[in-house]
Amino acid sequence: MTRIRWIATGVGVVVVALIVVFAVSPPATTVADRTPLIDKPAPALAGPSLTGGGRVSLARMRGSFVLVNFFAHWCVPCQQEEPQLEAFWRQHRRSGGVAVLGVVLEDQPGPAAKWVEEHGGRYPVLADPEGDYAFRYGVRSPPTSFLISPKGRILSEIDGPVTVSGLDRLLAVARARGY
Amino acid sequence: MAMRSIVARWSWALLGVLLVLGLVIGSGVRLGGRPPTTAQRISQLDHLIGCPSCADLSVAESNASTAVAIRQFVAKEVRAGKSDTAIEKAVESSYGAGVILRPPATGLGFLVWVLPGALVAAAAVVLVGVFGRRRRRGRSGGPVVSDEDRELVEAVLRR
Amino acid sequence: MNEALGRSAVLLGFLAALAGMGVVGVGLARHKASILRQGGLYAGLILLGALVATGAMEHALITHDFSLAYVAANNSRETPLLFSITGMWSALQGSILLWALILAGYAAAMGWKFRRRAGDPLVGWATFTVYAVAAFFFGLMVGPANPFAPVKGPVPVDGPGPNPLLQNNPLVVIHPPMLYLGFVGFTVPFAFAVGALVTGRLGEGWLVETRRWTLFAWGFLSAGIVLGAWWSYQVLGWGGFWAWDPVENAAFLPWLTATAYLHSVVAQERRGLLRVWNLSLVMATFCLTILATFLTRSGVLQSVHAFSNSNLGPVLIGFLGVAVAASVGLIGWRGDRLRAPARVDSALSREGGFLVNNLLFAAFAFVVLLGTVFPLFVQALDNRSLTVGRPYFDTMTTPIGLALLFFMAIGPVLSWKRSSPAVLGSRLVLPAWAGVLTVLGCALAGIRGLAPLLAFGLGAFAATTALRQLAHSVRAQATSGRGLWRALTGRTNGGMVVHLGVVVIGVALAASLSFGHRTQVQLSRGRPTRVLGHTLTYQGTHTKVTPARSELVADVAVSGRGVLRPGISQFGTDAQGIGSPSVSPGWRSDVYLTFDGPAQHKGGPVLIGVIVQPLVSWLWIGAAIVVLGTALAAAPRRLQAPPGRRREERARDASPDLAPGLPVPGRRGAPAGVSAMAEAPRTAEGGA
Repeated sequence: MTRIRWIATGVGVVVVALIVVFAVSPPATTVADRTPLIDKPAPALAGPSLTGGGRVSLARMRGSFVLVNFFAHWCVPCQQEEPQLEAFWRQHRRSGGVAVLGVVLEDQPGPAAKWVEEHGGRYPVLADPEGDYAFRYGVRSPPTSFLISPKGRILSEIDGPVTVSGLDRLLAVARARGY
Repeated sequence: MAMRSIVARWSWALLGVLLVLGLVIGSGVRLGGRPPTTAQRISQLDHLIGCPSCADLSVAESNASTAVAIRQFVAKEVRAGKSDTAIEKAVESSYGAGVILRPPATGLGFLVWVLPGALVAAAAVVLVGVFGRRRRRGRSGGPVVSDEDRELVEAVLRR
Repeated sequence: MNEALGRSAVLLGFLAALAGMGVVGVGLARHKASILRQGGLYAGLILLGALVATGAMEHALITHDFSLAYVAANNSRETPLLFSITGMWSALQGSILLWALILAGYAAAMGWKFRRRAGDPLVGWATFTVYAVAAFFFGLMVGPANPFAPVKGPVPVDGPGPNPLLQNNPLVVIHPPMLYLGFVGFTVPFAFAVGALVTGRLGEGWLVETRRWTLFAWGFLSAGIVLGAWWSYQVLGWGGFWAWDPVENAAFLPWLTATAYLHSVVAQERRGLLRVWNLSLVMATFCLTILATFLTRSGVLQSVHAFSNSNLGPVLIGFLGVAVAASVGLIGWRGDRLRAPARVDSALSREGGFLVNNLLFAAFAFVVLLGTVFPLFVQALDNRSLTVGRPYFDTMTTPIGLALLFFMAIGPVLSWKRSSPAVLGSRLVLPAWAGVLTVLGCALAGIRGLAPLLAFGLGAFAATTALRQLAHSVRAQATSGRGLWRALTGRTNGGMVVHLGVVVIGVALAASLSFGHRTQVQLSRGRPTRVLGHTLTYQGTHTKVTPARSELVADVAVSGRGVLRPGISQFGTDAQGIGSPSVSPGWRSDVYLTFDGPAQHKGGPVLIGVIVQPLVSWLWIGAAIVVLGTALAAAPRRLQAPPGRRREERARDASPDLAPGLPVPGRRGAPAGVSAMAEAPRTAEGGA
């Protein structure tokens, strides 16, 4: 074989490898950047609840599953998921074992306060004025929710709006696995 | 002729000195090994960390709420005296390794840094080898052509 | 009506391409020139199909015919006429139609240009290749990417309109067509390279044939890329113009290989060197245009161009595989015949300079390709995510870019075969002084930073070389009594103008990337605030409503720049607001404002993003110079030929039209254009 053929073969092999990688790569949109927080202890969340009921903290919710929901007043899908969250919370408030904790990304104080005024008297909601909680939880864009085990570990991350049925399925899987 | 070549040589030497002078002044080298200022470190880190909710941009270039939060975190940690590595690690532990825009120099990431240089070096070696062989062959074989000869030929060709 | 017409037209194009392939194939197999000549006619039919299909699509868009799924998804009754027209390239199916239209145009132009030589097997193979590519793209429209698919269910009354980002700036009118004229144009040199390899006529004939085609495609690709950067700057609101986004990189890759080719091809024409390399570059350029389409359309990489994702990935990757296999296979098969008749004698020669140039461009392309696809490799091998972003690309490409500027200064003064250091020194002394004084001056003026200083100095070095060459050319033409036109046209002179444009772009890049500043300020109404060297006064907001959008605009007076009006637009029912930055371009620096946060209560303060970057405008000016230089390089040099020109000279000018494949006087007696420009500086030197 001449030198040119060797080089051509080499180039061919590299390109075939490239094409194979392309062909097997799933679309980037489905490869959600997995959060590194899975199975790690959930970062602390504590403060006065905006919806009344005094001070809340995640640490004191140990012993039950907690759904932490990050949202923002300006986010349209958050408004869409809100009735579902409400229903999920009501459904489990009676049976117990599952709590819901909202965190509002308060990039501007006015509207968030107004929002809370309209939606007061339900599950506790914490303010996150500095974006510090969102940062600790690696929130990319609201709404993002985390399911936290009774022992305080993060079990899963849900990007985008949640539904009651989806959350119930997730809960069933978590319970089946013995968390 | 000799005079001209001496002048030319000195003028090139002067050029070299001026160039070095300009670059030394302009590079702003920290002669005393002064560490970068807090503002410089914050800016460097901001350009290194990707904005998690926007494509391609660093947090320095974005005003998305996540980017703003990360910028605040970085500024806070730098002022608190944390090292760059520690801050990078902290951001990674929230958002994953993909949030750092610079691929790591360890593991597989090593390849992306080394391959281009290795390839260029290999190509350069091949080229130099080819020239070297030619020149040796040229010396042993055909007539030796000096620069003066070439000048003469070029001068004739010019007419 | 639109649907039926469009579908039939696409089918016509597809069948014509297949029939053309068949006829040309038979002609090639039987060695019958008469059959080959008939094959050339099918290009006309393909073009007819593409034109009618485009007409049907545009008619459907302009008349808001929502019975077509494409129109229903990318148009609304409120969409203005301009953006209805551009709607054809605001999503996948229409873009493929645009690609097919341009390809059909190139095929027809090729058929016309080579009509007298359609019987030549080399031209026949080239035609066959172009038809095959056309059959693929028309096939896409017949099958998986049908632009004329009817809407599912009842015909909607209105549609959502084009993606908001695509109806915010008139640059979308020209950016995609320019880019496609570039991308698709490389099909022609690729086809001739295939023809040369298959027929084994590997002399310089095919090169000379496709010289102008390549230049043409390169010019459009350059313009298309810069227009894309300009669009990004004007629309996306982050003040940048290049983000090393996978899709941007994908368009940049063929530009890099094509630029390398435009240089190394001269070494082959003059001295028969680098034959395998040149063929590889032409074929790589074509394959990279397909790769770019794949990366844009498949969505395997995260990109801001996500609006163009589709399920065409497997088909396109298959086509890329075929193109690469054909290229590598042909070169491997014919490798033995590609031995160069001459050799590079010395590194210090024009051909040596081209070698270094090509090494640098190849390295540049490799870095960009590697950085773009590397995350996929890591994902596939290690199942880890990692990002290769601006820090990597900047670190790796800055030295390559600076080295390119350096060799851009030296290359043009090198002589063929061998340069003596003394002669080289005398030619470079002026540019070197210009470069060094620039570095020193900038440093004394307070500019800090090694990379920008080197960029400015090397820019001055390269620009002076280019100007020196042009000046010599003008003088030489003046003494020989020829006009200015001949002094500035032709490949070397046009190339020097391109070099000037590239230097302008390089300096603008270095300045804007190194010395830009950005901040965010809260502005209270009527209170002047000093920000980044400008005094900003917020005067209030107003709302601008058109049928397609409603925009909240902040009026901000900037000292010395008038009133800038950044806004936030809402398009139709799309809830997401799109920021529209307001830019005040300037010779020295641009002021760029974004409306980041509206007032919380009536008359309250607003949040305004302020970006001040020096010399950004020169990016676009530099690009215009590049395009001008490309046009000069491609321009015919015979326009103002003096009446008394010798006949042989005229015959030499016509040499590109001689039979292909013959050892065209490419090496020794270079075609007139090349020799005149390459020799010009030397003759001028004689007078000095």
